[in-house]
Amino acid sequence: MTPLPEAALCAGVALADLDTTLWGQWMISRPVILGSILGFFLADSPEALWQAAWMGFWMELLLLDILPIGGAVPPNGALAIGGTLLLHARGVPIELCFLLGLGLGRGFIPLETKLRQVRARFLRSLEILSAKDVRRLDGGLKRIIFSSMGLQFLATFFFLWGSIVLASPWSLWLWKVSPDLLKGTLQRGFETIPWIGLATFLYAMRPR
Amino acid sequence: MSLLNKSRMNPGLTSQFPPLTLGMQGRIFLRTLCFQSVWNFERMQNVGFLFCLWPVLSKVWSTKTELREAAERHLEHFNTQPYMGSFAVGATARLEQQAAQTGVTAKTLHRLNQVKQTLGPALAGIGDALFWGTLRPFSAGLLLCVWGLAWRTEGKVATIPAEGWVLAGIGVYLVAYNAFGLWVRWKGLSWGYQWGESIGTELLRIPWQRWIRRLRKIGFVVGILAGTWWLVNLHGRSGIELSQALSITFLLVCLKWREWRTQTLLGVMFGGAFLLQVFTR
Repeated sequence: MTPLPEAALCAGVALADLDTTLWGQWMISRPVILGSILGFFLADSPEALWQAAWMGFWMELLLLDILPIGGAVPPNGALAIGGTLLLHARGVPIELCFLLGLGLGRGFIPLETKLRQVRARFLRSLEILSAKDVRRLDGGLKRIIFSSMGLQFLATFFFLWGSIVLASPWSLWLWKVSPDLLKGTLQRGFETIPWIGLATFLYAMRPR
Repeated sequence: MSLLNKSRMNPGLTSQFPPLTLGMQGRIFLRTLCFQSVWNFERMQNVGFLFCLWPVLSKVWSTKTELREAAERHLEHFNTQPYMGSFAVGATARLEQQAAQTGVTAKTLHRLNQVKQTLGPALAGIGDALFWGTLRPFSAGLLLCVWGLAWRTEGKVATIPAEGWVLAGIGVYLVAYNAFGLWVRWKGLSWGYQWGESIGTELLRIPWQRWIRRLRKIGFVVGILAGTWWLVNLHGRSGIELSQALSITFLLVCLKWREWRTQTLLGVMFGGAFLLQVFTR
């Protein structure tokens, strides 16, 4: 894939990620939805499309019982599936991509935490605006909301794009030099992911 | 007052307070999509809450001082589940309007703040269990059914279903989830506004727990059926493979039941894969 479409897809993932917390919560950013949508852009055959869709589904199940309750910052599912599929499009084997994608989703937590701290600074400007001219507060609120979304978009985009650009050559090299024992372990371990997903699903739906 | 529209009174509701006008409800509804846009650790959803409430505040408070005081009230800490936030916005809008009509007293403001702060955690408790804990996995279960249907009807293991089935699956997921989510967001505003201070009692009349229990039961059955289908169709080509797959799944379900985290299970399974790889080389 050439850099421009790849960057555009990263931007698409970052845009969809706004749905996670900041705008709407329509569930477009859920791995199963985003994975399937990305599949339509990345896949060159129905097999590849279904592979992307199933990857999204298993990722969805693995993240199913992590709930965004209170101040908890859960792993970023959009980045996880976006990273998985975009790395795979660069030729990294899917077993490795899936784990790297999960790591990417988890690795975003410190940055997300920082972003939530940074957003608190917007409150000062709102208080000042309210004291100065409260009639203009609505405009101020809209500006702050737009800035908050812009900041989140840029952080997600650069995190994903940077991670893919940096991680793909290293992962390809690592895969090449890895012993068969490690490759076999990853392949066998990867085969169990649907079972773990199914167990997570049944646990999430357990009658209480 | 222009917020009121007697033609849209809902006779089923206990309160006699007239509902929001359609235009005002629509404006607030669109704003609820940004409920968490400035989520921050310090005061969580305060900015989103004020943004949703602004059309009402700017209408009911005529002087700059009153409006500023109202804005400052709602820049205080607030947190709840984003869909259920509509109920809190609706009820607070009603209380703000009442305060504007009857005159602001320390008691009125105390009541307003008390209702709002009590509603946050109560609504979050319902919303987290209903939306994040039940409806989201349930929708994923429906999606699996659609995809499972595709694999069953269009061929056996090696046959790949048409691409349209992928879209059908995600369509079912999004419609199942969002239809209910949007309904709660929309009705939450009007009900919250109608109920006002009595929202706590009125919310108890909605059978949330029964909905959650039913969805969970259906989802659990769907999960077992879909899981069995998946194991048999994709892994159960021979009796040995099927029994192995079933045993491992049963073991994993038992471990999950003992509150094992998914990442721990991942570690265990990859560790097991490593040992298997070492001993079968």
